[in-house]
Amino acid sequence: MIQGLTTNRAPRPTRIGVLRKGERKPAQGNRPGRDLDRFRFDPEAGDPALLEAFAAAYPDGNDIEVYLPYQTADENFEAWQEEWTASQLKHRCDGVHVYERDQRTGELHDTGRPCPGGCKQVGRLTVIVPALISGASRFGFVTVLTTSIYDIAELSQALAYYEMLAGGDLRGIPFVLSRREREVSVPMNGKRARVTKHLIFIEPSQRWVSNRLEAARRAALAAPPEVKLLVDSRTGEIHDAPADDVEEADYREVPPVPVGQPAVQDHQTRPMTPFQRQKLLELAEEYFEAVPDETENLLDDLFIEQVGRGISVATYNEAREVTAYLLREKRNRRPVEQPQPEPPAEQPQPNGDLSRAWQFWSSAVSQAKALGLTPEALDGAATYDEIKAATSNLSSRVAWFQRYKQLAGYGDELGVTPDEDEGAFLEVPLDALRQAAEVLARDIRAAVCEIHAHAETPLALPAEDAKIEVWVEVGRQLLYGHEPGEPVPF
Amino acid sequence: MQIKTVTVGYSRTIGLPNYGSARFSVEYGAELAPGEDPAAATRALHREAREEVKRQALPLVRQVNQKLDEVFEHLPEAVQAEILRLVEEGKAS
Repeated sequence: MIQGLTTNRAPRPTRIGVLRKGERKPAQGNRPGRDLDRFRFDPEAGDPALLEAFAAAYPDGNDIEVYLPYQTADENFEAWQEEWTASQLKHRCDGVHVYERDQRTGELHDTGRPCPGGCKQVGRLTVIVPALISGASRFGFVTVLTTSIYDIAELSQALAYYEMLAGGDLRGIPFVLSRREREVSVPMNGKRARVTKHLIFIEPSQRWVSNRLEAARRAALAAPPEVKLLVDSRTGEIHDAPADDVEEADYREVPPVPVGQPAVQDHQTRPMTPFQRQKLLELAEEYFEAVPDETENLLDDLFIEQVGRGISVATYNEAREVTAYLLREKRNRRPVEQPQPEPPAEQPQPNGDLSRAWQFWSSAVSQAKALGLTPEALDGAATYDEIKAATSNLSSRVAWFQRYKQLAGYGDELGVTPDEDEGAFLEVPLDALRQAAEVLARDIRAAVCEIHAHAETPLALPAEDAKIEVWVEVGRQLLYGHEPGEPVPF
Repeated sequence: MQIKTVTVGYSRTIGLPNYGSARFSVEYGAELAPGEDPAAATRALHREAREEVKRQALPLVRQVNQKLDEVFEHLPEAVQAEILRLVEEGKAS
């Protein structure tokens, strides 16, 4: 404390730079700079002292020790959809409504106006880099900038989790900000390809985690501690201090953790949720086509194969990875026939011979029986037109039944239970089958809207008339963070 | 030429930590009495307008400053000590 200098007011931070993911933009052209595998520090006004301090502390530009300046995840990390001209923000939205700042308070508020489009997601994380304080004598905020949907999802989920773990206050916790390799699926030449990207991760330092674990362990054992573990109510730091030295008003004790419950977990071993486990078992049962007892063992083997360790110790992110794998496999196995409202292109002509018409009918019957559908009765005395009409009807029933099964599969992934089991449609007429498929598609759209309304990660909803597959893909991303790094395919 | 009225506008933009800003502005007009100095009236109005904008902006400025003060207060003690050392040495503010 320095009287007259710091007693009047605390030193106030200013904005001193940006941590970027890419190289500087080339002098010519509009292409962005090449993506890097580390952070590039871009100081305000190109301040060389800041640049030198950063380079000295982090020569490889990675694993940067930071503190978060504000209490909550939302205050520290802002993510929006934004549309910019060369120098000016045209609009900012949440993917649905445009947000504007109140001129008098600076607060963002929902205008209710629909997003005009043309915007792109951007995430800004505000951090304090202690190395710049000692290295460049500058106390200020550094903004970590990203336009990757995967970074935004990862950072917002991670910070929300740490906020909960830290009792609602992220301040005073030493975090490590890093870029790590992840395989993601991206659109390339009209197809999807898996590429390696360096995504942003934030996690508390090992020392803080160990302290929290130790504090939780002692609390769980309820043993009288020789040395009290205390959390500084102002800074969030954990101190080892003799009980006598503690002024009650200054400190709060670490909250107890119920006995028998895993205490505070290492961020890297955030356990999978019961919901994840249940979903994985369901997917694995289908994937392995095994009895339930065997499924768990097979799933365990799959975890070891995919993420290098068994299901019992798998983390939340590893469970997501394996879920994405199983969903991918399920999609690859599923037939992708689309409804064929019209009969097959090659139809018997009005003047064609009757035996050819019977041939088409027989082929449609085989397809129907393979699916368990009961074909209409057609006796050997049917006319050419009767056979043609029956073939057309049966082919459409086959196509709509397959579509219904496909939609039921999508619904299953998104928690939509069809009113009727698919078996109930084996004998129903074409119109009823079509209607059931349309109802299921409508329910899936409604489920995605519901998931969207409760999702933390902002993703734009597809257009009302977009294909159901587009809706399902958005639902998967919102629900499972499907295939980390995969962009929304529209 | 006789100047009968003077109008003064004053505005101030307050930068916020989250890249945002808030803008405060007022516009004052006055009718001049016969023989009154327009320049002096303008200066007086300007002073009034500036004071009014400051009055309007003060609650937000206080709120922002308090939030920034809290940033320092919640840093670990070792980091706080480093900042204070630099302030003491006149190297940082």
